[in-house]
Amino acid sequence: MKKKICMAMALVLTLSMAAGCGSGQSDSGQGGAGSTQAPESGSQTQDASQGAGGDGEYKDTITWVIGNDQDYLDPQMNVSNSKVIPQYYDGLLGFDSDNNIVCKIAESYESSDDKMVWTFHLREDVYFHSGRHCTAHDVEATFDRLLDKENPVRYTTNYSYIESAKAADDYTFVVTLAEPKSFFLQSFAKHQTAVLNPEYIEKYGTDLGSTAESVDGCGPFKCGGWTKGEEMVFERFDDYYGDVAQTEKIVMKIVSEQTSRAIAIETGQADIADGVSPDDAVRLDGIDGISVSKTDGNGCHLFQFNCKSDNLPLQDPKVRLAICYAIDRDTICDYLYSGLGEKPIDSVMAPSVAGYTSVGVLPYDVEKAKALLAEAGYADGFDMTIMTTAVYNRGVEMGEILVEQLKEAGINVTLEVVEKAVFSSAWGGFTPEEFNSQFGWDMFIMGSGGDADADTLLYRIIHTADTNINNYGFYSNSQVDELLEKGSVTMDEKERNACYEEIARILFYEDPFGCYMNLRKNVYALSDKIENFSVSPTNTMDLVHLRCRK
Amino acid sequence: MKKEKTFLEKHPILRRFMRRKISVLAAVILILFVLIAIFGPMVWTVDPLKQSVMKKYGPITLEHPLGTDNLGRDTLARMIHGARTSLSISFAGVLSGAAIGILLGVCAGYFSGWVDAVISRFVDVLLAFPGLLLAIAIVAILGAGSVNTVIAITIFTIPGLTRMVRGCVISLKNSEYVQACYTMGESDMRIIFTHIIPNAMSQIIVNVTLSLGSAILTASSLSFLGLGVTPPEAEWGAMLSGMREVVRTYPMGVLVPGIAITLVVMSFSIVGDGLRDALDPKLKNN
Amino acid sequence: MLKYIMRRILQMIPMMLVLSLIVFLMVRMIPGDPVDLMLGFDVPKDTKEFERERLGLNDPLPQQYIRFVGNALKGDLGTSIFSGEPVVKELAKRFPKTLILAIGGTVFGALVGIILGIIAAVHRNRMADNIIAVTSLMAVSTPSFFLALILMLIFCLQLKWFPSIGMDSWKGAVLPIITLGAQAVGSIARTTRSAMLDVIHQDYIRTSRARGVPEHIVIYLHGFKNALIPILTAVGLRFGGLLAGATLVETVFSIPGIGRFVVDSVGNRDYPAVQGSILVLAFTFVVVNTAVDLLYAAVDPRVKYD
Repeated sequence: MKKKICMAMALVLTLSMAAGCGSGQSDSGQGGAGSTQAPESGSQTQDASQGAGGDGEYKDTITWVIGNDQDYLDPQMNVSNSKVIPQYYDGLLGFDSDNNIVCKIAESYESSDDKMVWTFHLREDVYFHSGRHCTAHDVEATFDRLLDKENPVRYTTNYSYIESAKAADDYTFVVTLAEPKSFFLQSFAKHQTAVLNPEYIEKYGTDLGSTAESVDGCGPFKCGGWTKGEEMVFERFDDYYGDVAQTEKIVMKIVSEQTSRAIAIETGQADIADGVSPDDAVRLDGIDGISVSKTDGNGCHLFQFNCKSDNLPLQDPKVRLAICYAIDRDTICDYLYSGLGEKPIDSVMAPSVAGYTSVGVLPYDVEKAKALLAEAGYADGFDMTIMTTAVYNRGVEMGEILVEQLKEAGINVTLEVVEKAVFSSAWGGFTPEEFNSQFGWDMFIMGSGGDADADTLLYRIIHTADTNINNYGFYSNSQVDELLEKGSVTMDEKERNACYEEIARILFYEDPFGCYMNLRKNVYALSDKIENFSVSPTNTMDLVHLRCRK
Repeated sequence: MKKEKTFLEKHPILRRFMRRKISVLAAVILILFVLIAIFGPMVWTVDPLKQSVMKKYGPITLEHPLGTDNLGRDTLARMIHGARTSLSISFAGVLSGAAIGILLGVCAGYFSGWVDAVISRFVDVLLAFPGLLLAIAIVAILGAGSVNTVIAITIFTIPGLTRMVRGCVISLKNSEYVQACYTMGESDMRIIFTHIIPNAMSQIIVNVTLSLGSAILTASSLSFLGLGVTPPEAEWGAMLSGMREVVRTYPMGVLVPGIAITLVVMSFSIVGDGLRDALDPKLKNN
Repeated sequence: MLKYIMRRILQMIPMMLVLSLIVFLMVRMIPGDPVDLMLGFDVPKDTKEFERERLGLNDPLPQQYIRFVGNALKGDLGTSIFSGEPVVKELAKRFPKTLILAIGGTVFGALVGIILGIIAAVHRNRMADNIIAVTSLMAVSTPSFFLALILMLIFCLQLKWFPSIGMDSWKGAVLPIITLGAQAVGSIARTTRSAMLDVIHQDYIRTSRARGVPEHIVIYLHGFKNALIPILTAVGLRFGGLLAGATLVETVFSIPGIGRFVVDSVGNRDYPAVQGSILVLAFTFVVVNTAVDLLYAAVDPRVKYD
């Protein structure tokens, strides 16, 4: 009975939150942000309260098998993915499962007319897992750590546009920008800004999030244990201010073998299997009691160019364009990803990213490729090296196909398959000379995505830079630079989208940055007993409403 | 008929070897695979790298007698080229390892003293790395690829052979025959190359044959751990581990390379045993 | 005898020193930088430099090595760069699992191998002998990850007898142990067979037979007891191989043992973790081999102690 009241209160709270969020918003220009989500989240909550009434019908523990563990449970350091951090930590804002910006710890927010000063009003009923009451001062401590240029964390540079972030009183938080940024809300809602407990910051320093004990957030789950490379336990946080999780415990087990994960779901050892291979996806979907969820993701695979390669042809945009034309993306998707329903991407970002406009899938045209090569003076072809890694789903196979397809255009490719460690160490802020002498790749596989906004996605990786710390392939194009700079301060949506459309066009048809391949899907194999499964384009599962019949 | 008899009579080793039918069968299988590796690509001229989208996981047809793989490549062609890769990796690794092992073993056994001490400790240390772990560590240092797999197998092979040859040499050195050579004033080199090595040869051959089989297993284990040959090169272990994800939807994908590996490794063991019996009847049953 | 044991144990010391030096150098030759990997590629160079300094990765190699050995003697194998936990703690968690697999595999291999070996010896050169020879050979000749996959499909998926992931209960250990033990069956069966054959042809067995002692008692009691020495040696020597072979089995069955830890740590360039775990595995291997040698010396009067 107590549970029911709780759920009902949560329902009211959620509805009021959804309504409250955006009401004080003087900014209505953001693409699709805000209140449209109220009906859906309402219905979900109702559904939830019904479920909680039927005691004993649902499992207390859900098992989720996944291929890779997390690196850090520190929102300011984690690069693994966005599957786990949002379960433990909440920020002032966040995303719902359709990538819309929603209020979390903030109840409402407003901006000054010049979009330079943003004021957030905090809820008063937010607690950390440790029991600490969350106030604006905690948010301030979090931002002090995030913005500290002396002791930078991984995401410090991403928020360098913030001039100050201070608590005005216990429940008011004010962010002042150096200049108005079109993408501010998108960037601010990312889980990198999640609120940390200042006591933990003090106590653990850079070790925060390296063990289960050092995790303390305001999110719907507590970390109930973490054995690296083995398993992580999500425990329901009963004092959560929003909907309380429906399942007491969710266990994430690390099972590195794809085949073993499939068997685990088939034998009922797991309720959710993450990272299903394209071939297994079809087979598992056909099995009674298992379904496969395929939803649009916002990441894509691409093979990026080393634009400053000492292998001279690669420095010529015409040659890079020729390589792009010589690759048959449709065939590659048919070959490798048909089981997942993945298709070639038609821009440099996914349709769910703010700023997206389709510029069409680059056509497959070997004749054109040959003509371009001849124009550039390489009619007889040339030799090059492509790096790939099995870290990406079917990355090695994709490399193998590239070798074959580029042969048609007269390009002789040597494939180099590297381990995760070598892959990661290549983006250590090298100059082109250092990179060429140490690695010597002319093209390399990359994943791109995870951002909900064109600026946060692209600026970092394509704006001219001296080292490859973010711009991995030393891409440089003055026109693209100008457009990026313009896009980041243009507030008019239409004008802004035009900037990114032009960028996409240049990157596709004039001066390629990489060969964009498939738009990825978020794929999960689920037991039919799983209810309320939903996953956002950035691949964050809604574990709060997730439940599993016995 | 008569001619053959005299041939076998002239070669007692071969005759003893031929006595066991299973050894003969295994030897035939090995010779067959070696022939396939050498001449196969000339007979079956399909390109093992040629991909074809419509044909992935293809059934057995005249065009593709063993079906096709995940990229629509002809499995038979890949098996043939894979035989080349797998066998040459294993031969190259084991033979170079054997050469170094024999050299070290002979030095240790013949010169004794500090040479023996240094070499023996070195071998002890190599032997202290549990099996596959040594190969993993070596490939981790050098990076994946067929040449580095060969190096890993080479180092993997050295300690066992060194130890065995050393033992052989020590027992031969004390034989009356070699002692006699000493007193006749023959040089060390001459004694080593004309008397000791030829006499240790039978054991060396047996050991090398057995190592060849385990080298194929080591190479395939490395491929499974993602530390083996670089794709798209065809290698049996890589083919096997590459197709394990589709083991249920397309079992042929793992069965073909899996059976080939098992068959060849088994054959090496059987031939090795057969040779042991044939070369040295006293060692029988051991 | 005691002197011999002492000497064998003392011999292990220089050996372990050389071993630790090789492991130390080997791990440092692995390309890729642990700090890059740990902090990812978005972090500025000076932050990384600071981290390198903190971990002592900038000190001269001899100094790093001496520190490593000194600490190892105190039971401190450093801190895993990746997990931030002491390596000893990580190993303590994982080593028992690998040990269970290796010991279980050895016991399984020994039991099955000895039984098959005796049967083969009794039915020498007959059908049973040949079948046993071929099947046990087949088990050794199949890549263990392939064998594991086949067993998994049959016993986990079709029959649903055992779980396919982890080793939380005894059930989870069954298939990994069988897979691992299968590699030892062949050599143990072969050794048993030949040892039994040697013994069977000896005089006292013939005498027993002539005295009318029932055949199975002759074989199992008298024969086996005397064939035990070479068999035990073979069993002991297989142990080390299984210790390493566990790497593959742990990967397939998702068992967080030391073998998988080594492979993961190599991938993570986690120097202390790789160093520590290889050292512990090698040490176990050396200890077991020495123990087997001593056992052999203790039961076989022909071995001299000098």
